[in-house]
Amino acid sequence: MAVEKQFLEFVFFAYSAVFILIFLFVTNVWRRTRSLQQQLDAMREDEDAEGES
Amino acid sequence: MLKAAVWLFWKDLSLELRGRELLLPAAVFGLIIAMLYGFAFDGGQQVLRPMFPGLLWLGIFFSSFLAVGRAFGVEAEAGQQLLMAPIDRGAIFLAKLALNILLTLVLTAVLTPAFALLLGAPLPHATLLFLWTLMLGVVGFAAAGSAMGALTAQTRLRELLLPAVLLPFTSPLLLAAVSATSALYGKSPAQLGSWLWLMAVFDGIFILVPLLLFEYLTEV
Amino acid sequence: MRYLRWLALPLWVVGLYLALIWVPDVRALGVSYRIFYIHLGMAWTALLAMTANFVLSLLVLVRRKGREETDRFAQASAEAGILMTTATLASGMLWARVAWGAYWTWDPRLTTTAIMWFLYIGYLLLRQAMDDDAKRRVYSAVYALIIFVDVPIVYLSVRWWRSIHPVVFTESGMNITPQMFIAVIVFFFATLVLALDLIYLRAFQEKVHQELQQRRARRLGRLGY
Repeated sequence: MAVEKQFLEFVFFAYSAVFILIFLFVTNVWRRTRSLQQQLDAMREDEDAEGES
Repeated sequence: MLKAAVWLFWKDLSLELRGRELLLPAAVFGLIIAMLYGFAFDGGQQVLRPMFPGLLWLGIFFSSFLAVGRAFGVEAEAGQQLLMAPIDRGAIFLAKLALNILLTLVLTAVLTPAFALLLGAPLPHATLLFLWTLMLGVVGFAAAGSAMGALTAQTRLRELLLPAVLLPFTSPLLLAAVSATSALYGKSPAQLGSWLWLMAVFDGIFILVPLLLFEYLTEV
Repeated sequence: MRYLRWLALPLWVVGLYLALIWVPDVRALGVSYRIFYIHLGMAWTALLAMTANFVLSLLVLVRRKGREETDRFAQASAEAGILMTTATLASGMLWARVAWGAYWTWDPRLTTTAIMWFLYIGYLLLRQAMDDDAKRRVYSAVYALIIFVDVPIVYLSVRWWRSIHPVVFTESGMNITPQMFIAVIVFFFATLVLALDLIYLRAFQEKVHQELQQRRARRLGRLGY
């Protein structure tokens, strides 16, 4: 029974490890996209301002 | 296209004949590999002999790799004039392929007896089949090397990138070549035919597919 | 596509429940076989992503319209494919350690997957090392087509190679019951949704990144550098 429990813990561990890693990766990509987009927006505003003046 | 290819081939060949810049270092490298096997697998010829097919093909692949990798590197270093010229990429590929096949065949002709001598393994009795195996393996490696060389020649890393893409790519060829050679030494000889077929298919596919695809490279 | 992400999470939770609790034990294999659900789902998704990369690369070559967009999606799907392949290999190795006693065996599928992994890593390396945008698109597309042709040959060769050597591990004892099948399908869709989300996100990020760089270059040009 102890062995079974060990296996179950192992499977839980493996599942969550894979899941957490992929989730962290996606979040990271998402955050970087947002920061890039903010930079782009700031740049567009700057250019608009330049065009008006 | 053929005319341009033949012309390019002669250009490269005469350069090579004059300088022997590819063949000589590659051959020396191959011989050094044979020596290093002796050091790395300490235990003499009794240990090395059963591994002879694998060791031979690794030696051939690695030393051919030097020659194949240089073929496009030469153009890239010469300011990419050829790669900018309005010549069909298929023709360049064919010319480089012919040169690479010739170079690797010469290399193999030098290295195979040398490896047999240094590792103390007799060559297989079925000479014709052995030559056929060598040829199929070498042609496939040259074809794959020419295709990958053409693609990596345009990058910043060039010769650094080539092993990373070429060696996994040719792994089925290595597997087939080693297995076919082992079969010639009597290890499951019934499989010999299928291994030779696999190599022939590999050769055919990777001569034809780059020829078909490389015309797209001319656009950019 | 934006809301896809929120579909992935419940699918994962349901999948976890199905795979870890709902599906009964297989006696011969113990509990550890349950990793097989996530493993199979990710393996299928990885193969699909690689196939998508192949199709998109083909499109890049034959269709001029929207080439940049297609190329971005080709890259993103290769990345998602590599991620899923890595996860597949990792979960497979963990399972192999428990079931077979070794992290690595030269099983045909394992070997082919590893070689495929290397080939697609090469795809990303090739892309990274090319400065010219137009060249990168076409060259990497040609490379993608060539390696996609190579994968079945690799599989064939490795299978023949293993058939010569004694087969230590067989895949018997894995008869799929309807319950198991449902768990597999749920996990497959969960990973598929996640991969799709990632592909869209990466392609979009690449688009924003490229536009940002163009604008920066233009601004520098205006300032007289």
